[in-house]
Amino acid sequence: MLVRLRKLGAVSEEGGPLRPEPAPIYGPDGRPQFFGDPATDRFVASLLNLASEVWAQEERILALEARSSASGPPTDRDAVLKQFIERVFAPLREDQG
Amino acid sequence: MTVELLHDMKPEIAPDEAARQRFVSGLRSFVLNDLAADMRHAYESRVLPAFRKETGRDPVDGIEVHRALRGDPAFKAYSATRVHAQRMVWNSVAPVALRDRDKRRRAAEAVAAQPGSLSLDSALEMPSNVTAIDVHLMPGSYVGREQAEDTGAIYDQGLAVFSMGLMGRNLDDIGLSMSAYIKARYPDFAPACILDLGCTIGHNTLPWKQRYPDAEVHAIDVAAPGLAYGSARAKMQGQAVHFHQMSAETLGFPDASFDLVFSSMFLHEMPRKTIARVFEEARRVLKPGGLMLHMELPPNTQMGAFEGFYLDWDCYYNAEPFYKAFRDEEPSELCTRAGFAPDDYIQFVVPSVGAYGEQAVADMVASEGSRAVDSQTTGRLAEGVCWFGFGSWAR
Repeated sequence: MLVRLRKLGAVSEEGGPLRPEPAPIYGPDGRPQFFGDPATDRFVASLLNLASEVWAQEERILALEARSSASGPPTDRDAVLKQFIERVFAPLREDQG
Repeated sequence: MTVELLHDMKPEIAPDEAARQRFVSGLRSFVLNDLAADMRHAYESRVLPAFRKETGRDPVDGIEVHRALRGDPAFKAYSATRVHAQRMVWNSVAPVALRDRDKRRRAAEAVAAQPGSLSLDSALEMPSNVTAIDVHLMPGSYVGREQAEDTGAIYDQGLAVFSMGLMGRNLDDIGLSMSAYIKARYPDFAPACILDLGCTIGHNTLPWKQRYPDAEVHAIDVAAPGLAYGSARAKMQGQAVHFHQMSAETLGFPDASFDLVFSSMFLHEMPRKTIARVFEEARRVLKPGGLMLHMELPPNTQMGAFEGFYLDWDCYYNAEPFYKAFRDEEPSELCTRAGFAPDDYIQFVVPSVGAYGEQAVADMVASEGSRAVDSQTTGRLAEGVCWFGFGSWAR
């Protein structure tokens, strides 16, 4: 796999860090471009929108559960949201270990 | 966390809308704290060593850091997420502001007779740095387009989502922190007449009226929508402020008419030639013994290369094209070029009142200490933010 990636120029000969993609700062639509293919930037936007809509549904469920529950402390939505974001976007994080 | 605005202009929002706004605030917090920390780690652990290996030295400035980092996955994750999160800020509030328009009109009419005033100038020529760019990726910038009437509300509500609670429920943390510092550091300074330049909706104007209740407070901006909204917003809070549609380059006030000329997050949005004229006008309208004070982003000359890159990111990706050129300036030289004496220059880093409390400001002043500009918290809208201020006394 590493050999194939080297042939494609995706990793250095030492197998070190990825080489910068030859992306211009701005794409053909004039918006910032961060990935080699500007379509990838659009997918990022769609992914974030989707996550937002999933969270809106999650809040609906939390509200319904709170309504049907006779007792118990109110849900800390900011805390639940933090866990949700950390779970969904974990692949974006760097392994700092 | 997102915040519910304190004043009566706050909108009525549906649960789904509140959930989307909460999500955007949470996402921004994740980007500006977690992904930002990852990007710094990536820089120190692989980008900087690779740069040193290639060049035999460290990057000299933010431009070199930017070039070196741009292909790194951590930069891409941070940047691509942050750019779209910024668009989501405005997308999450614009429909609310549109739907709430009639209620807002009624609320403004109800307080129209309260102390304070609004003077609009329809003949004022609008500068292109306001009209030609969607500043902060905000559709229509400060003047709006299809939703011009809603622009003040969009800005107010958007800033509440954007700031993740770090600017308080009245979005006035900068004004509160800066005025707390001035009051504590210069207890004998009692401005009778105060001017806020580029005030938008006056959210950082009001703290000055609260800190110096006897002062006559004026606030100007070129964009009418924010002024109209800000005037009603101030009246609803019982704050008598006089809002004027006016350019800071050509102030319609007599010479020596103000004790304090203030601005917040204003200078980095204009070309350097304009900044020079703004400083000259500020000096003209200041009384002898008066103070020109700007809350701004800290200068590159006083920060490390990575910190410089980190703050200049907005210049490239957040539709703020004058940002870096301003931050490349030496603030003291901006003042002296406008005729202020070098010995009259001041600068400081003040802890956010919202994050640290007013006592922290008083303690800092009492110990005659000051936080370093080259800090990971100065000017960063993230946990533990501190604000940079500079300016000059007039003779």
